[in-house]
Amino acid sequence: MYEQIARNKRRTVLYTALFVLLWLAVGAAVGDLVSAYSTAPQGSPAGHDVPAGIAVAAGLAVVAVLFTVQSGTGLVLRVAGARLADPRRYPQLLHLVEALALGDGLPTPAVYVVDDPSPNAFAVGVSPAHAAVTVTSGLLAMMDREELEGVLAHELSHIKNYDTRLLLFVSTLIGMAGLLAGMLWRTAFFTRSRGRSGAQLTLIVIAAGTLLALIGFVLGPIIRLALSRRRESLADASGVELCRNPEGLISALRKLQANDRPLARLNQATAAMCIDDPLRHHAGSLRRLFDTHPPLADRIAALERMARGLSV
Amino acid sequence: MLAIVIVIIVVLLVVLTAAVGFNALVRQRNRTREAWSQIDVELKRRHDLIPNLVHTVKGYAAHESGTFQAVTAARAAAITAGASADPAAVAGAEHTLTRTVHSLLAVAENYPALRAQEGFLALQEQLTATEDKLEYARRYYNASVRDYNTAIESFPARLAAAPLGFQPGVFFQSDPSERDAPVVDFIAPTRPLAG
Repeated sequence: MYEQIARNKRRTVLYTALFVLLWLAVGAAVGDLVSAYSTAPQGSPAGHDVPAGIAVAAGLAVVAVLFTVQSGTGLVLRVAGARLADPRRYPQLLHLVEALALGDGLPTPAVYVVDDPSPNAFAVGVSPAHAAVTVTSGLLAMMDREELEGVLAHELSHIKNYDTRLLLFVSTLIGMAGLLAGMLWRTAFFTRSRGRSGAQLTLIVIAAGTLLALIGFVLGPIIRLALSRRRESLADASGVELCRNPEGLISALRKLQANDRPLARLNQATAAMCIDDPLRHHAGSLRRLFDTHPPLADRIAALERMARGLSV
Repeated sequence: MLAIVIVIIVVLLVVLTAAVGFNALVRQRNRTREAWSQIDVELKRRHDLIPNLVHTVKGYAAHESGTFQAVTAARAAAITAGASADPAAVAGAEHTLTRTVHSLLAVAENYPALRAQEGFLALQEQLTATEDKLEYARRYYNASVRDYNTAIESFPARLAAAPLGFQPGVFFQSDPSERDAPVVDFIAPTRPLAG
């Protein structure tokens, strides 16, 4: 288990470094564009704005990383539309989270609720000391105490294993890259209004398109790998180890399996954090490769094997 | 000259290893103490909830005085045992308290008006939550005691642990006689029995 935690911390650093490199490359490209096409007089050495582009991009990257540490958790919660759980309205939920945190020797995470009829839950946080568990009102309506305990144990395991830190970094960085691409698009329109050449416009549009493609085809899969299907199974296993009752989680996953409503407010970035993939719902084997989660049926089967192991 | 350097390096390494090992033991011992204090917090909360519960049930079932007396006596015994901070004594007294509280709740089951009362429901949820937390705090405490005991009994720490005052920790058993009893299911009607 400690090995898993160390590996997650290492991967966080690795993905952040990859992102920074990508960002620096974009900075260099923009610098190159600027020096080649705009203010520079004819004949000046090409690419003298490249170091400036890299410096600006590096500054932005540092800001992005600091921002993730400082307010990434809050951002994810806001995007999901989560509200702090009211102790008078959700006493059972809060009690269960407190109890499970005691069992892992973790500080009690903040507990949030999203008003959404689709049952789901996710955990975020840079560290166990600054973590939050979020459940949808649909989950609360659907699960009994034992099932809720199983789901919450799964989420706390993500926090304990530092899955949440890894995912938070990867998701926020992807959000930032999307922002950057959007800024490039706007630059394209802005420059057109100033009557710049068509070639320059095309280049900026291509740069923005490339960035968007990178987000879609490179960073998207990284998210899926970041909290791979194995990590979900691991959280299932260590969640059961924590609450010593596989039946609760098994029965909760069965109910999720029967549920068909997709979750509206969660996007690509937060999908990987959920207990049940809110985007694709349990498709056949072909789509499996691209899923953030193993099929629920496989997870239930694995838990049932554990249940038999425990009772023997 | 070289020999002296080697001797110094070896001595430094030994001192460093001993210091790191000693600090690890201190850390683990403190973890077991912290885990114990978590158990203590939950036990105290339960002791505080019980008079309220007795008072509420009394309003509906005043004639069940035997049950009330048993609960009150068990609570007093548990508080006395708690002052000793000896896990074995605390476990015994708390187990008796758990049994009497559950028989009190069984009495309450016979009074639908009481069961429907909001104050009683809130008390019951708090009691269930406290027992849940107690159970989780107990597991964490026992896991840290196990790790700590393994550390002080392993070579070479076991040579120095006892002289340096590292005494083995005592496990906290939920029930000294019958372990793994599903105590929580009994008082949580919302929770289906196993399965």
